[in-house]
Amino acid sequence: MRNVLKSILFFVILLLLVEVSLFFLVPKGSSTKYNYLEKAEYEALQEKRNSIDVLVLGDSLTYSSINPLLIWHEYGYTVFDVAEPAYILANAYKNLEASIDYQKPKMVIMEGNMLFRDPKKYPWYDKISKQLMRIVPIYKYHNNWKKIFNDDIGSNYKGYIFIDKTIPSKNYDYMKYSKDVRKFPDGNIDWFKKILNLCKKKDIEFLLVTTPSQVSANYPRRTALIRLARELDFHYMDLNLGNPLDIDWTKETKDKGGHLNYLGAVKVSHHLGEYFKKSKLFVDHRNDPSYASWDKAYEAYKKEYDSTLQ
Amino acid sequence: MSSYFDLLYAFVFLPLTVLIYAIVPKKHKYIILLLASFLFFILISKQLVVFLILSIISIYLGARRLTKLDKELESKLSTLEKEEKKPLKEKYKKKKRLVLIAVILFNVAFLFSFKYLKFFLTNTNLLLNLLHIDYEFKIIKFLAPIGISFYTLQAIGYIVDVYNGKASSEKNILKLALFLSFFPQIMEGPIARYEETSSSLYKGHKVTYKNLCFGYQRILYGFFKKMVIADRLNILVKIVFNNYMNYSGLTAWLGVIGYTLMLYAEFSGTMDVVIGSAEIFGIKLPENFRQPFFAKNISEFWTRWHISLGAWFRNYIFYPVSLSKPMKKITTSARKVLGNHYGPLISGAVALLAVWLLNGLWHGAGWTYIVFGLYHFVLILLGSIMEGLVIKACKKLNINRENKVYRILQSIKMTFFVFIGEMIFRAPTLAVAGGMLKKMFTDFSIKNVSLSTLGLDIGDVIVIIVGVIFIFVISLLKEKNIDIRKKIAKKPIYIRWALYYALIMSIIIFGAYGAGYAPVDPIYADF
Amino acid sequence: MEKLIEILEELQPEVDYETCENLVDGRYLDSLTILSLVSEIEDEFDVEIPTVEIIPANFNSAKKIWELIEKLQED
Repeated sequence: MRNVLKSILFFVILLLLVEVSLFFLVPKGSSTKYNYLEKAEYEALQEKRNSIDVLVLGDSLTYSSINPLLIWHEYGYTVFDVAEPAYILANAYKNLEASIDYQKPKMVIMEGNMLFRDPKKYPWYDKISKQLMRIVPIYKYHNNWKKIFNDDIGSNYKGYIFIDKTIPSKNYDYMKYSKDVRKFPDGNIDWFKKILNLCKKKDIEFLLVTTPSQVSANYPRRTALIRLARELDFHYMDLNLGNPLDIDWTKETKDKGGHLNYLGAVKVSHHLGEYFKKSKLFVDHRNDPSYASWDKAYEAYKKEYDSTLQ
Repeated sequence: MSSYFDLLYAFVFLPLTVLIYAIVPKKHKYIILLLASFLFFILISKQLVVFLILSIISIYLGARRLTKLDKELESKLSTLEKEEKKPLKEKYKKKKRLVLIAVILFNVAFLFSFKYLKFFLTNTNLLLNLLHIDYEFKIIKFLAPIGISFYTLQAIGYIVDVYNGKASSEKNILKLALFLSFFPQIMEGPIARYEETSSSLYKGHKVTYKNLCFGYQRILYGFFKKMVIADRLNILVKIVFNNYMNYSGLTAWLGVIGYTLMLYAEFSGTMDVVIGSAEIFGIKLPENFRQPFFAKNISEFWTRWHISLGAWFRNYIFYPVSLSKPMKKITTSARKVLGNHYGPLISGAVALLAVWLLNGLWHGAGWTYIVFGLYHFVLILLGSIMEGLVIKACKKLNINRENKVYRILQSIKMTFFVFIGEMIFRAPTLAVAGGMLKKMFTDFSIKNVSLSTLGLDIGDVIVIIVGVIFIFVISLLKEKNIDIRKKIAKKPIYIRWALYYALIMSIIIFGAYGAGYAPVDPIYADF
Repeated sequence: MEKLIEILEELQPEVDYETCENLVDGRYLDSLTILSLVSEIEDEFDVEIPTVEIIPANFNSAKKIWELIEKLQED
């Protein structure tokens, strides 16, 4: 019994130590409204105030396929992925709310996959992740001890996650025509409308995108989204039908067509960059010294890209 | 789950197994270990479990057959006259040998088709092409042989031991299955002999608080080595080995030294997790590392690094080959010509060549591995031939070979050769190995040596240096026969806990995981 | 026994065979030296050392080696 008590005490102290170290490791940003745990959860709060041009809401499809640093390097726009694995709309909404309280994006992009995720099927995930949030931020932020040596260390990929794994699929037509229309799970449209309204209120352009995925994308889903876009009047961009980005599924996927890897992400990011440029909404910040940390971050990404390519 | 460093392993799989193991009555505890082992194997190696089951059955039947033949012989011998005994013995020896060879072939055939067929066919095709023969073998893709390289060696060791009467054949196939597939060991060793671990595996120990603490302590030390040091060095190693032509010789040296340290941290760290895991169940696995960098020469290095593999090759290849009948004949005549010291070296050299060729090939199907083996064969053979001369020279020059300075110089020279060997081992192709070697010894310019081109920053370098010093100090204490763990256990609780917290927090904060780091894949699991 | 020590000293002169008890574990005899040793013992004492007997426990001291030789001579 004594040993059990001792063990419990040991872990309680350990958790306290992790908590204390988190306090030092999570970037403070300049917002005082949110505490360090919230800043860990809503990452866009760690960026400089009003420095983000585009926020991208989404799940794993987003952080694997949209690389803000590439868009930065090629076009000079600042994009940030607000994305969590298996994210559900309700949480994405909260994140967006906190983020635009502090950032002033001109455009919000949402990845379409979230609309089809049934939140009722993910309550366990949500609960566990909420519980883990108290410890897990350490996973993302532990490396910030390096700030002792270098204040704006470039390991931050602005929400993007570098995926160097390749498990090939085949190149086939996964967008075969079908008469079916996929239904949205209950409640999702309500949360989606809230997101739309929030954007309208703040005068932010909205775009819905479906990024390439042989597993998540299909014709019935596409039809459902097209109808929704007509009904609620927003822009929808599908990157699947006819494979407009020329994705080579034998090389550019991480998991047999489920997600893109770092090579596929290059294509999607480039395409979005062009789209932003044509929209003429944004200013090129590349020569602005207050954005120098983005160059550093790009260099770090480039290094990882080069070493992976070989 | 993908390796012993998967958090799922250390914090879910292992604790759950320990829990069930602790509740189940003593008699059935071994079954829990067996079930856990199979689950573990399926999680990592998937369909290969079919091979595992077939192989275990073959080993079991083979071993039982050998024991039966032994018993038959014994009962028949007791009724016979002396002259009749010898032919009968010979007859049974032949029968036994047939069983042994069949079982070994069956198992090696599996390993061969998974591991070597592709290499073999590719090279045959190249040869056919060179000879202008218009035929090409189709190269079939097999599953990756994860988890069967170590298994196969241990299985062969067992059947040979039974054949030689060194181990009794296990009657209970479940028990045998556990000995062969015990989950901490199966991916990366240590390769154990039946006598070493079997009884402890079957005994069903109590899970004690002390074992739990000591086991997890050791697992943590393994995580430290792997996550703080190996994963961090991985960045540097990857960059240097992939683009060595863009760097100076000095940088190539950094990459090579980094790789050796990384390999040591990764593999010995894995062994800490493996041996620590077994310790929780009260099972003592043999050590696989004994401060290798304190060795006097390369030959000794290989008795301190991956000990169980070296022992396997010594027991099952080196002595059986060098003391086989034809070899003995050669030795006898060689001694007449070359004298007592150098005469046996001929058969020794043949056996050594066999050992190192197989050692290289066992690590993988590739020319770099074969050259890696040959490199060690040459070094060890030369070392052995030279040793007599060195001793004489030292006597003449009045150098005391037990002197500290002399010993340190020996270890430095040895480490230098290890660096070169591991460089060949890591290089993707022989051409790269050759290119790097040339750089390392001809190009001493200091262009491009800045840290940032190597993917590291000042923080990384400090962590690596401090981490390596930490491991070095612990190794030094071990080399001096100081039992650090016992010493710590005697300290008051606040000192102990402070030490644990320091270790855990340094893994959490200074571990090279998360964005921007690619952890080292389990290096030895693929061999 | 004296003959054995003579053989050992010729192979590896840097050891005190009267006292040393870790000839193999202490790396005084490596596997190639043991090979020479085995063939000399077999010649000198007219025995045959089977490979399974070549384990550290049998070769760690001159005394142990001698015991092994005596055992083999009895067989």
